[in-house]
Amino acid sequence: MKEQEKQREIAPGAEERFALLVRGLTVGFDVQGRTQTVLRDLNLSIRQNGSYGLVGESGCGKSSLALTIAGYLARNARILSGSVVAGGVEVVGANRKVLRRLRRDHISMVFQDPARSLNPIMHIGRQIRECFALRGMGRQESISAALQALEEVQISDPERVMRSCAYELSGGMQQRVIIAMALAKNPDLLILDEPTTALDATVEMEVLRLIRRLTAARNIALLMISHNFRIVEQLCERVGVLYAGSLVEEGPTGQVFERPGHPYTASLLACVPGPNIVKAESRLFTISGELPRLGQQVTGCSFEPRCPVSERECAARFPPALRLAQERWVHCFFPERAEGLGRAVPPLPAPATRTTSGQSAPALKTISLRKTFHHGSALLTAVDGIDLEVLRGETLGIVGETGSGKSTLAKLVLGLQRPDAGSIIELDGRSLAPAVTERTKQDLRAIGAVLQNPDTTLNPRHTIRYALDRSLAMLGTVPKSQRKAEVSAILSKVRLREEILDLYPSHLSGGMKQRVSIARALISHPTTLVCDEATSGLDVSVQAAFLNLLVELQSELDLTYVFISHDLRVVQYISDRLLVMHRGVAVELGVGAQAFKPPFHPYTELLMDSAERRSIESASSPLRQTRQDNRSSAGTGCVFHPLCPRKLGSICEMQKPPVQTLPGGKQIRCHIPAGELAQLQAKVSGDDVANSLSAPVANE
Amino acid sequence: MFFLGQVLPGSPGLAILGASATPEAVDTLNRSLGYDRPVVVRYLDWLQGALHGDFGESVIYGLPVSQLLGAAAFNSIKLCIVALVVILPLSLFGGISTGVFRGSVWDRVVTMFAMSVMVVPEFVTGIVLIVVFAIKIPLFPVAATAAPDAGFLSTLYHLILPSIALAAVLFGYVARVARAGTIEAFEADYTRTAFVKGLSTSRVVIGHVVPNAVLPAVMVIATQVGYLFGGLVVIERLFNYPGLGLLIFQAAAHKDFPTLQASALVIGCTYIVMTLVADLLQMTLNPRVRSEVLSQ
Amino acid sequence: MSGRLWRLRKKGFVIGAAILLFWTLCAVLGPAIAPYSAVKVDLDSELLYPSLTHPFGTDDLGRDVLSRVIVGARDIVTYSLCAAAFATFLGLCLGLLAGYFGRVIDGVLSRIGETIMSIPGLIFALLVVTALGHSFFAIVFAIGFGDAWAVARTIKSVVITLRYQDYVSMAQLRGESSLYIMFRELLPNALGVVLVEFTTRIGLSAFALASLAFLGLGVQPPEPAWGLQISAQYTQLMTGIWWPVLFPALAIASFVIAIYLMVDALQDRGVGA
Repeated sequence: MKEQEKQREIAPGAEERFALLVRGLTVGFDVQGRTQTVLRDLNLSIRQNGSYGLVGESGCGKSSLALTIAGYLARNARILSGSVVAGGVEVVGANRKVLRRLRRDHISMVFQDPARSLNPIMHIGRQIRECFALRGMGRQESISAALQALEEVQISDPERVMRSCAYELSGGMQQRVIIAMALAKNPDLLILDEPTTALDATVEMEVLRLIRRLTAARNIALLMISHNFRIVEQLCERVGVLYAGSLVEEGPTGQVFERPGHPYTASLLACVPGPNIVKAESRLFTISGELPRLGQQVTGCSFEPRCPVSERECAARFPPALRLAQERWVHCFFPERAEGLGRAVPPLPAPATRTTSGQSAPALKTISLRKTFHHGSALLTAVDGIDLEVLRGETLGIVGETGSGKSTLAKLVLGLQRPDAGSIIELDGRSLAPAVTERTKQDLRAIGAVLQNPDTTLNPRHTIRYALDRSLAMLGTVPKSQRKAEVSAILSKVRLREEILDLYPSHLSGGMKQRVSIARALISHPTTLVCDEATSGLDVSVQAAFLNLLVELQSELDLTYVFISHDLRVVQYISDRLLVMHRGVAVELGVGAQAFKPPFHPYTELLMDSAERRSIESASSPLRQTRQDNRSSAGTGCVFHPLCPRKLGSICEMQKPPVQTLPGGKQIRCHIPAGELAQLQAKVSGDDVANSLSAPVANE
Repeated sequence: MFFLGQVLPGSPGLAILGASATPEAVDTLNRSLGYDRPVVVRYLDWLQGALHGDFGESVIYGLPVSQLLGAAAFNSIKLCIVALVVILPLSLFGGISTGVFRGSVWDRVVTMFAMSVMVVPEFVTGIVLIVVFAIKIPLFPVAATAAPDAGFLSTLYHLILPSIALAAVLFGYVARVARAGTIEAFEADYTRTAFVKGLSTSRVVIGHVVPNAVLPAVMVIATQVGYLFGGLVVIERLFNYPGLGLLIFQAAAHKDFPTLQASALVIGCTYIVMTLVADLLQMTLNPRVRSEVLSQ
Repeated sequence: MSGRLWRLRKKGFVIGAAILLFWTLCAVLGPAIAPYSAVKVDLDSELLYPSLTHPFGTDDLGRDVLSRVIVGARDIVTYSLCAAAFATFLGLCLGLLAGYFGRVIDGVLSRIGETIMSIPGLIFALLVVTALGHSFFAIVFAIGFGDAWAVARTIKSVVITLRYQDYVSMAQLRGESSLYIMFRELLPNALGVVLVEFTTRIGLSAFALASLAFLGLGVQPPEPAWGLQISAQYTQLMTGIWWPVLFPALAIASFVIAIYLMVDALQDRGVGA
């Protein structure tokens, strides 16, 4: 018994070179007496101080892998076969003592939601000290070690943070603390499970930069699990693509992303809106079908049902690993076919682009739209005097991070929240009542909504038929006898089959639910559709088809969209106008293609940078760790000054910046002259990537 | 803070109106049909008296209500304190240990026991206790009241059976909440973080799980203590113990409204004070609530 | 949801349901299956020790304890069902109102609720019964009214979480009335909680009813209510005559425990969690 244990711990010399070695791992969950496989015959290895990115969409089993490595699987999970060697220790079948030693000395993990990963009632200081106490440090020693660890993750006031509790810190700060704890033991392997998904784009970039710097400095191997391959691209040498529990492709990051060998990888890369793809020029590449449900039994290649280039043999058996180059292999019978996917398949040409010149009347117009919330005695201005105009048939894209007021803006337009007195909302030339209960039937008909969460936008206790029929009864114009036909008609418009009518929402996938939402919104023949984060609950492979549908419907029905999203790429694809919001203020309003070209407001610039992730290398970006404290201190000046990398000085703190209107209609709310901004930004938008944020700040 | 500002000034008055307007209405109805003004006037008169500690005179005893209340409340407080001291540590221990060893035999036995004592009326528990521990195995006295000259220990000894019967319900509640809290804390992300740090199970439990599990349990204790008074009526009647409960029972049986009103007021106030204590406790234990309160 | 309920094959649920069914049968059939009359006084056979002829013995008036326990089920079943139904219905309406409208309505309802709940349920019931007498409706009201506010609080907390779901916004956007939203959009999603609340309240009502009867302030003699039997006989405990008291006490215990076994199984199944 003792001997066996020892053998397990001291694995053969060959394995010593690896921080992680996974061989033939199959993991299942017992659900209602049946075993559902979530990981199938997985093989992967990470060299010491290597970095590996695991990419996959939701439900592909990537988090289960992370928990398997840590020996922390759920009670109903079972490792069916295979071996996992981490830090020289066999994890599969290891007893608690071995696992504990492994977690204490060799591996660390960082999870998705930092707010919930910290003990809510324990001071941060104690939580960090625990890690050092484990290594035998005394009280004083562990305090100084903790302070040092916090400084290393670029927290400028570690003493204060030590005395704080989790809720007092912003999301980015919390994640920094967790990283500090993870690195305290100087692990061989750091596992990051979607570490930045809960964070805003600008914060995400800083956290990634920090991870990269610290792991490189300390020779820590990295396993990065993410749905976002742009992140992986920046951080990892090697990448593996996971689909429905199987690793379908693996290789050096650059090679995999440039010349994908698997149709899934190729399709996935192709269906994300790129930086220069707009709806006027092309449709998005789409993957047909939906992600397989968890635990669905597959005999052949799991991607076969959705694969555009599959053959009969793909369904019969899972393709063995095919070596493409050194350390590069793919599980596919026809890797040569992947190459053309996405590029060779020509994107559908969009119907004739319509002119969005001044001749058409504004469909939606707001004048000094404002909403103030009262929090006890404190006032919080969520939307601060927004004036905007959207023309008929256009899309207004609104971007902004958490707390920018973009969702509040949507609620105001819809009438779900009552704006402050003096705000004006006009639709098709009519003035709208402030609250939905006061609006006329005609107004309710004219404006449709597709809301964020596909899981809650449909009542789980109503069938799809009821949901559509009820909307038709309330807002439709057809007599009762024709309702059934109308429902069918609308369903085919959003490319859904009639079989789903008698299902409940829980039986539909996220993409189908959002299609039903669109169908419901269209049922009253609205002129304007408000989409509030309508794509953020969807996986990228589903998102593309959804966006295409929106674009097709827009040109078919001459719809006006207000499209709100935190994802700049998606907004860029679909928008004719762009509104950038920060803390309730419209910092920039762009028109047409000009919206995505410099000059930008410094905040927009930051968003553009994070969307492209081109500045991850830069080490000298400003620290954004004091976000939360600055929330209320913006004072009388520019709302962005506490975070602005191009801040001029006290003028930004004291004076509201003027709105500069550029030729072509772009509006920027900044003290820096637009010409100067254009100059500064032209310099970095070229190849000079590394300096994007450390560019010299203009001085008056 | 919220409670201090909003409930305390208005609530005891309202408590009386809610509880006793009907009896008074019935009373006045008997005397002067459909004459509604006196209700308000009498209520105000009574309230004015109550504020000065004058609750009127008991109909059955012919004594000032305040005098009766004082003696009874003292006895009841003795009983309640013994009950809490006996039950609280036990229930917290029971709840947390069953949460930690979920699914074990210990868990099943304690959980079943806790549920049974929680849902069974106090007098049933009391009778079972008397039959078993006073009659079949005469460990404890049947009477709850010790001789007037009895010492502290003897008084305590007499109070054990009634206090267990009284607080058994509370044991069930607290143990359940503590168990649920423990399980929830065990499954929380921060516990996963703690485990992945490499902490031993015992350190995770003591350092991370228990503090988070005790929090909701403490809240339940503080708010449920008010409900002990409901049990008092039954237990004091069963053991014939001269406390507030017995006083209320007799007042109700003889329609002694002045006594009833005053007792209801005392109990309502105690409940509100306990709720306040619960809020304060939560403030000291949960940093988040603390800072929210202080910032307001 | 019915699908989920059918799968409740948990041991606890089955045992609870079986006990409840047994007492319901006793309540319906009562005198028909009781071996002796529950109310007829027979001074020749008073205080008989449990035996084959009288399995639970006889009380001080010579009445068969088993028969009295069987017939006594009727009171507890009807009263506690009615009180629970009343409490759940009233609480549901109040909870929906407070949760959906929030603000002033919630504030007012919460204050009233807090005031009523600041007096323990039993004492509140005692006050009401003292004032209104011992009629069926007075007792049901006395027990159910206080409970209703506790139900309202639970329902409200659920409604508040549901209220900000997107489907409520969507209903508002198509111009639905508040009444429709409360009863067609929110209620179906809160049904699990309502069911659990209703079942819980049956148990709590039985608890309160038995306590009231024990105090002699609920159902009045000569009804063979369980609490009342205990009340009449428990002074003899000291003389070692335990059977007329213990069996009704166990009956009460079995009834409430059965209900809670079912509640637990429901909650384990995620109904109204």
